[in-house]
Amino acid sequence: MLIIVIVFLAFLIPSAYIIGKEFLFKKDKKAVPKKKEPFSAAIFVKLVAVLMVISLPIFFLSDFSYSHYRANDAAFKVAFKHTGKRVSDCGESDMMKKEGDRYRKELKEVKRVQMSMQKLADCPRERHPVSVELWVDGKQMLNKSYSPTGLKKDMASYIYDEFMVGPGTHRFQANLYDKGNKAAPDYTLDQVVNIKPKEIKVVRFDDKINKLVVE
Amino acid sequence: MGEKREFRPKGQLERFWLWIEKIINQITTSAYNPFYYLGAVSIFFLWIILITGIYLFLFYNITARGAYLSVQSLTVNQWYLGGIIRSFHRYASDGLVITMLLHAARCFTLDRYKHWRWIAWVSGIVIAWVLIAGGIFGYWMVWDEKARYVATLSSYMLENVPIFGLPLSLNFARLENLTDQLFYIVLFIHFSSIFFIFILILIHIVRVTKAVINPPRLIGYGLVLVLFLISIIKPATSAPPAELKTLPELVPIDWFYMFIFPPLKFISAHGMWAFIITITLIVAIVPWLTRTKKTPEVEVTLENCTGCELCMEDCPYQAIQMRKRTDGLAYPLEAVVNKSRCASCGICVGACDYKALNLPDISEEYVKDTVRRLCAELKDAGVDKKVIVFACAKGAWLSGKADGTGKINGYEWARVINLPCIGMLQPSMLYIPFEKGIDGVFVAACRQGDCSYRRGTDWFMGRLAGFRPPVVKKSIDRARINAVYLSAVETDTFIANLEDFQKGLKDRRDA
Repeated sequence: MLIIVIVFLAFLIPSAYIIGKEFLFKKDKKAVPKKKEPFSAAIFVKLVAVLMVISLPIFFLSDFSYSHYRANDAAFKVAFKHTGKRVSDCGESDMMKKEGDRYRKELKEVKRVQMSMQKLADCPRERHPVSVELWVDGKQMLNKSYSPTGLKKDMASYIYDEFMVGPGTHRFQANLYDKGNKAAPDYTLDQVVNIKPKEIKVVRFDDKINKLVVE
Repeated sequence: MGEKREFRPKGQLERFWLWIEKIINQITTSAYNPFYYLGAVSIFFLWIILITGIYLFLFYNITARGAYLSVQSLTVNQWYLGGIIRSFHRYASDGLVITMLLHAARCFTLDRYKHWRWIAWVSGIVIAWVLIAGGIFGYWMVWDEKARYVATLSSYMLENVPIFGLPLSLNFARLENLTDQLFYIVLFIHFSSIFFIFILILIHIVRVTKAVINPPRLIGYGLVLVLFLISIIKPATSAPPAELKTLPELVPIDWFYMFIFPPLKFISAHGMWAFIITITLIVAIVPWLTRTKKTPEVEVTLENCTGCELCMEDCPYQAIQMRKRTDGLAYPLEAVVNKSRCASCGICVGACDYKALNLPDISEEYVKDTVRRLCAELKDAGVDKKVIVFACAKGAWLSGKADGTGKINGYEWARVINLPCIGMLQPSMLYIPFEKGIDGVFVAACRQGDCSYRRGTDWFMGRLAGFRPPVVKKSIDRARINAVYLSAVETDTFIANLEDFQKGLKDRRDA
């Protein structure tokens, strides 16, 4: 909050100063003194009436109701974050342990020792994309791969897709692959779900129980 | 001198627009006609948005779970202040879209967007989109059903832009996904947008001398009162809180800002982006698509220039700058014209006492020769109560009444000369009719506040009143000069005023 206030003031104060200096306080002595129209209450009332007429669209358009969905629509979303397995494992934790041991050992003998991070830096961190297949009532709705994020493609994949379905009971079957091949699914889902009109069901991966769920 | 300048009558659309403004002039007087201050009114709305936004921010809870409650609490528990301020914030934003659209429509209709005005036109389009985007993010912050509708669809649009790698919609799939950080980001974007707009406004008016950025106070008071009345009649309220487990039903959306979302029911996000980009580009290149031949720019006769800076100060588009003398004369500065900014309005010609500036197609000498010729014609005609008329070509157009030679059908006692802008009327031009024995000079300028070249009318008034050099000398009898300020559709008023003036001259002499 404080940062926002400071940033806000950092913008506002110089802007107000520049605008004030440029436009408000700079009196042009050669400018024409504006012909002052006599103030009259009648003109003010008429002016307000004109402004009200110009503002009329506000009454109609500022909150005119609209429905993006049909009355009987329901939806399900496939929405979760999942991290694919490493493309190749270079034994990162083992390397770190070995390097740490070497460092501690040499530190006792030599005063200045440098950690060698090169091996760790070279360690491939890329992950497999996460693939999801989804069937609703036996009809395939989704078959897609989601790339890992990050410049080195070493972070999680973000899965998001949404579909409209009619309300009623539906059978959800899903396969999730995170090891780069589709020989056998790494996680599966097979669940019958009742969806009410307007309801949204979400297919997601629950990290706590390590499985796909519908909720 | 090359081809002589031709003045064309206004088109039907332009006349229709001016006719509406004429009606409003009759109601509010031209001094308080809001149509003459649409840009300034828009900036006035921005200030209201900024100030009310600061107040709303003080009570805003920047969390996913607290945002709705904080706004609702302010609206309900503090309806007498917070609620009204919230309404001001929203309706000033809506009003801003209205005035912005009217401003653009006015500039387009009155042909004030081409050539030297292209920067204002293009930057205006950028301002419009930044405003729309800022407004959309503002609606996110309330986190009601309307906000959810906007957030879902704007995320859908954004994640279809290749540079957005992450699906933003993931945030709205479940309540647990919704983070406070997202609200900080949205708040930051919303806040930033208004600062961007102010910076863009500086670009918008960068080529404009003495831009009008504040409306007259009476209009300001009127706007505040109107916003207050709307806030009382129709207080801004929230929709029900965002519910992520169901599809939104009827959502009360603000069509001023959310008009881009309903079409998403029928077309894809890519289709919508393509549509937006196409329309934006087409509107942006309209100044070039409809470009007409530019009239020849003003030329400097350096040996006559004294470097007095009057032309630079009077130029409405900053087309004249002063630079160090290059010809060895004993003056420190000389005027130089930036041709791409020159509107060929002749205001600088009117400001120059030394014949240092001239329009190739309507030079000072040409105007003076024409005035002398018309004076001679009037004298030869042997009519009584002779009047020379200097008329702004953008002002009251004597369609069907003037024949192009200076005669006005049915008015043998008057001759008219058109100038591109009344700001071109140099005092020395004004003296000629009096030197030639003409009884009066009638000057027809554009409506005050609506000069086609922004300040021509003001500068002429200043010269006539003795405030702005070069001034009309005091020895000229002001009673023999009559200035009227009329738009192009006020020909009848023009004629009526001309007749009254001549009658006044006659009465005066008789008396």
